[in-house]
Amino acid sequence: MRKVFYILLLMPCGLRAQNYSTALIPDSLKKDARGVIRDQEMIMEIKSPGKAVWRERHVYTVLNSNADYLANYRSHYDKLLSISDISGVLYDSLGKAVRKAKRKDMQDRTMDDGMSLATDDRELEHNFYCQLYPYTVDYQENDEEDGILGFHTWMPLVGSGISTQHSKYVIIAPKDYLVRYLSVNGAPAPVITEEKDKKIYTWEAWNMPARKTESHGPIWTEIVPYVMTAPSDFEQQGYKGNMSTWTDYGKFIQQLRTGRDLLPENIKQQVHALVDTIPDVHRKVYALYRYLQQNTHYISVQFGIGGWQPFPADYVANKRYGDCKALSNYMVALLKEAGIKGKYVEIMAEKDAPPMIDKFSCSQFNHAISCVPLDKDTIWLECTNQTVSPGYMGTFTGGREAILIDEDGGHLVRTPGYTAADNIQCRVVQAQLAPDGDLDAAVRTRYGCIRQELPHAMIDVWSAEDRKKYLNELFDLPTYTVDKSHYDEYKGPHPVVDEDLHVTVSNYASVSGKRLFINPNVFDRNSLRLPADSIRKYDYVDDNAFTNIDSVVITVPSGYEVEARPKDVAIQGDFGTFRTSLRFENDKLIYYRFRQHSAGRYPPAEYAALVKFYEQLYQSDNQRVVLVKKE
Amino acid sequence: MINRKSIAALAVLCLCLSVLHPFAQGLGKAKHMLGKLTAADFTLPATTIVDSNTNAVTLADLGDVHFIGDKRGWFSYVYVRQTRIKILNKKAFDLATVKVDLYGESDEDRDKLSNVTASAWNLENGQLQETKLEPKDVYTSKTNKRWTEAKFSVPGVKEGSILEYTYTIVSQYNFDLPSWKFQSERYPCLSSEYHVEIPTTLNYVLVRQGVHPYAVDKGSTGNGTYFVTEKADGASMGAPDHDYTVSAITVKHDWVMKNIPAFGTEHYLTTPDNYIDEISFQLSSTYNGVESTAHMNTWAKATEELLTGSQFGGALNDDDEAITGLADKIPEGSSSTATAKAVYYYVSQHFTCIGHDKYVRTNLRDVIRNNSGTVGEINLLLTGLLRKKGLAADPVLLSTREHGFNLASYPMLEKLNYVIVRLHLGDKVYYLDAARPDLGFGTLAPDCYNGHARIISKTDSGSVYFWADSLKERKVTMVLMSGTDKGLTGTWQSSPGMLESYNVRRKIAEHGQDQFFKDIQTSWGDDAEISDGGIDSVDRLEEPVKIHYDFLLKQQPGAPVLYFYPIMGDEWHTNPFMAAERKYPVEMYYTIDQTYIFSLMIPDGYVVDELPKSAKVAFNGDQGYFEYLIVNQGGQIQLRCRVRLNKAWFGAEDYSTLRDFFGFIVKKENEQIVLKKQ
Repeated sequence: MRKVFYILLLMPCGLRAQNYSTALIPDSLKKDARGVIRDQEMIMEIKSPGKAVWRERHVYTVLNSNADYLANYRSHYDKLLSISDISGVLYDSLGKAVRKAKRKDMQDRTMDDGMSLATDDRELEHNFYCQLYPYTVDYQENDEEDGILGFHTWMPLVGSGISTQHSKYVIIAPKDYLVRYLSVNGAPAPVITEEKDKKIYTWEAWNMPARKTESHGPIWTEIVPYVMTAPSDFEQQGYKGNMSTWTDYGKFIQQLRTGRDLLPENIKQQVHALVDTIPDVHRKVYALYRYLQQNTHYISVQFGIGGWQPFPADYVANKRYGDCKALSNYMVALLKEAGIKGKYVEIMAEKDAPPMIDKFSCSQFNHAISCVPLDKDTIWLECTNQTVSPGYMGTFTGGREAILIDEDGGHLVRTPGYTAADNIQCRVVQAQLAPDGDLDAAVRTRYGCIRQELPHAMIDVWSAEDRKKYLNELFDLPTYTVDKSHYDEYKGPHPVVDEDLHVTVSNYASVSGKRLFINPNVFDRNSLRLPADSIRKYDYVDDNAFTNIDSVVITVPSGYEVEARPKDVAIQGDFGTFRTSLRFENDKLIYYRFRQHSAGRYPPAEYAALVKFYEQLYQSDNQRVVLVKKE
Repeated sequence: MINRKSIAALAVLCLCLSVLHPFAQGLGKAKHMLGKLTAADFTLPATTIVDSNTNAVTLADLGDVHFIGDKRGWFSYVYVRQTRIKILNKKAFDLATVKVDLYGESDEDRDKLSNVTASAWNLENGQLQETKLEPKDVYTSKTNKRWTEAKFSVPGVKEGSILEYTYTIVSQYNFDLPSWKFQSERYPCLSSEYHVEIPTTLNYVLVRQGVHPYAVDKGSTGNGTYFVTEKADGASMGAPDHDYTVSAITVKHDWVMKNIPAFGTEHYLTTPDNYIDEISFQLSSTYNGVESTAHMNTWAKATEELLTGSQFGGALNDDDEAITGLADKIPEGSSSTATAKAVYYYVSQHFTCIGHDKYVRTNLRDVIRNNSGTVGEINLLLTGLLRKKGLAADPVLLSTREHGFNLASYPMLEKLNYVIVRLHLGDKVYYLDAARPDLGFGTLAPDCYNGHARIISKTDSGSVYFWADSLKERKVTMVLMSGTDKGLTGTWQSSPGMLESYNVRRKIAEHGQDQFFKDIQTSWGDDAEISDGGIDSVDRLEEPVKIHYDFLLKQQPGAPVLYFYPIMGDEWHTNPFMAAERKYPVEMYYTIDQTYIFSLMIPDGYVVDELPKSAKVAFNGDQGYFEYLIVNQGGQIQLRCRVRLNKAWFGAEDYSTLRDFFGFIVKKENEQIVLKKQ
């Protein structure tokens, strides 16, 4: 009897009769919408810390072709997560079921990202390819998971221009199991009920109108409500842990690493030969890091717990390769052999990664690095890159929170960020203009920190052929050739690249009967113009911090005087500093430009001023000086 | 410099056959043909193909194909690959990861990968050190239903390492033999060899392309003995399999190429595959001891097989009922043209193309049911539907540009990857492609313009050619301005070519017309204010769109001197041919014909102080021209500017002329008019 009741309670949602006629969508949900989440249910039942089952249903109405992507159903599985049942139905606009799909109708493919040597990540994919709008798709699936290292995030509004009629997330757990959750951006608290020996957490939302992202606006997770959920106790492939605090989370990761830092004898000897005679600890770390860079490279192999656990140090020593976890773990082992305490750090990498939610301990990471905390500073090491500077984090991992894994558990740390003064591009141009308008320019540029990432890649990652091709397409110049290029690199926590180019430009200046039209700003023109009539709801976000300095001297043929010229500009305000000055003396155009911008966010009220600011830049950068022959 | 004419030479390996006495044979392990590595191999020989920019050098690349008897009563090929590469620096580490594609749906039928060995060799203090690949580090994963990928990464690689690997594939899919690329896109190669030994029961044609000479190119004959097992037929349950031995004369061929430079690709080059040194094979006939069977070894034969095979023409007969059912849903038009268009647009707007396969994967019923299919499926369905309406439609096989050239002289099916439809309406011929939803009736996408294509028809098969030189992208832009009391105002209107129209349509479908004009306004910034924007012919896919709007230039009122660019928003701002030099031909997608017409009523109170000079230059005689004609007549400035290229493909020797030609265009189109206040 009890069993029957239980089955009814958890009846697969598909058995319920529902009408998905699009006529039933309220107008408020059609406004600004290309698609509607009609019904979304995710029910997770935690059987034990090592086992969970999922029942999901996703019913989406596609209002026009811009939401077709919603109807492309994809479901991930791997060695620990299996899909026990999956099916789909297509409804026409009247809500009549017109086609059905079973598992055998779906594409089954590897989710190899092209970067991995091997992965167990696979997906089922299906699409009805309906082109009669509006239409509705309804997919249901049941999954079984071994080990519960991560739960879903419930986010009822899934994307720009998609409204939600109903969305529900349920977690059913044993009564004594602590389910952890965090409501963000005003998401509702769960309704918690109890059934026998189960505790049921339910989050539910109805009739949420579509929202739209804005260009240069905040990321989606900043503007919509969502709930993060995570396990307390968990088990996977024989490992047990708890992630209720960062300390506990760190203990689990530390457990996975235990005994994996043993180096082969020959490597130990090499470590000692390398660093024992170096007195300074910074230089020891740099030497070991260089050793790592010279002897290993990145290859990823991911299976099951392998997504969490590094391969042992001797694996890397032997194969000379590993993924971020294996290489970072290996670096820490090398440091340990040299008597230096290195630490293993988990982090969310990528330039535009969402910020870590530090008050909710769960895996929010996709990468591992290592670091060496010292008395006065900490040396940060990216271990998957064979050429990056020691201590430099850059756009990939810089300026964000991460979890340092220590013997006593996890600790919240922050990687170094880079300011406008660090990210410098300082350029000196000495140029000669021929009577027919051709320009011959010697260009020296110093790039710092984030600004050196591209020239760094050009030197150390690209082939010489690709570099040449790139340099000859880089500049916004009529017809030009870079016939000489030379680079010097200075490594360190604030890396610098010096670039020396020789550039010849055909017809750089327009020469008419008596006039000469020339733009004194040869290499650094701002081409961004912002839409003036946009009505913004959210902040304008510009995370780039940089300083650009240009000093240009162009010697022009003699006998000219200035007829018209762009005005000198001096703007200092919320959007940074922009200054230009131009002089013409002794047949020389002497131009100076300074632009500095710090990372910033500008509320909608300031947007009009921002549009104007960029327009001023555009005008200043793109105007030509008109020289006219002296009478 | 490489000329497009020198791409392909067709050769047929000529064979004879005899059945000899039985003899035992085994799979046999591949002999180590590369020889043992020594410390001397770490020193690269002095050669012009290696310079300071080289990141890795293939020391030796060796392929061998021979045959064995198999359990299907026939012959499988055995392909052995051995490669030795010197890694000079980190930029070439990706060479250590090797991928091998294996064909076949079931475990039993799939190509078998075996004998995988790989090592990295490092020279440490004069001593050779080897790090070996462990067998468990070879990973396989099913890519899709038909293909499986095996991958491994050679362990122990660092700068200066020599890496070496070998593997064997046994395959029953012997219609094509593995093709062999002597030249690599990115790395030079000291020695590349390919050896084949084929029993005379099988005949292959081979296609050779490329420009580098062979050091060895030698044919010979030998003897082979093949142990073949024929499965007992299903009728006599329990009957034993039938084993027999075939001895056959074999045809052997050895090709060796030395010191092959890296290809090094360039812009405006569709695919290096058209030019690199390569040999590919296709089965032409088989002999079973009694009679010889031809396999698509002429276009006539291929056409016959394609017309009946269930993966192409036969699919139309197999699903006649389903196609009739669908055809009945599409109303007929008032004329045969209207009916053809109705069918075409029905297919292009109801079916989603999900891949560039020329064949039908299962059947056309599935395509109709799933609303989706490959290019081949969608356009065969279109063929079938048009025929149901009594129209003369036939499929046409071709190769898209990215897939490389194909041969008119011989049906190499691997070289064909796309299907379109030829339709006869009265005495007019249309070529249709319903696999791309935004194309108009009778229009093909530019990547179909790749030379030879073959009509597959019961009545009039034959070759037809689509050249980029024949695809014209014609654009006319007109700007009329005059001075008013508000300032300089004007109208801007432009009819771009079909391809640009296609892009405009996509943009409007995605973001809407309002956004389209907002973007134009944003691009003008404070320089102008635009109004009354409109686009004509958005829904008439067979015609180019027409974009028009009014604008007001926000110049300083009453300025003593007015400067402005007469060519607005449509100029060549930078030279499209950026690189200073060129090795390979320039392959553009279409010919260009751009006309820009401008007129300005000079505002009251101003006179012309300076006008750009008129100019006209021809490109390579009659291959194109640039014209810039400007006059000031009765208070009106009139400009007519035209860029015209009559060809889309140019030899490398034309490159600098082409670059100079565009250099001149960029210069002229960025000149300014100067008006002065009286």
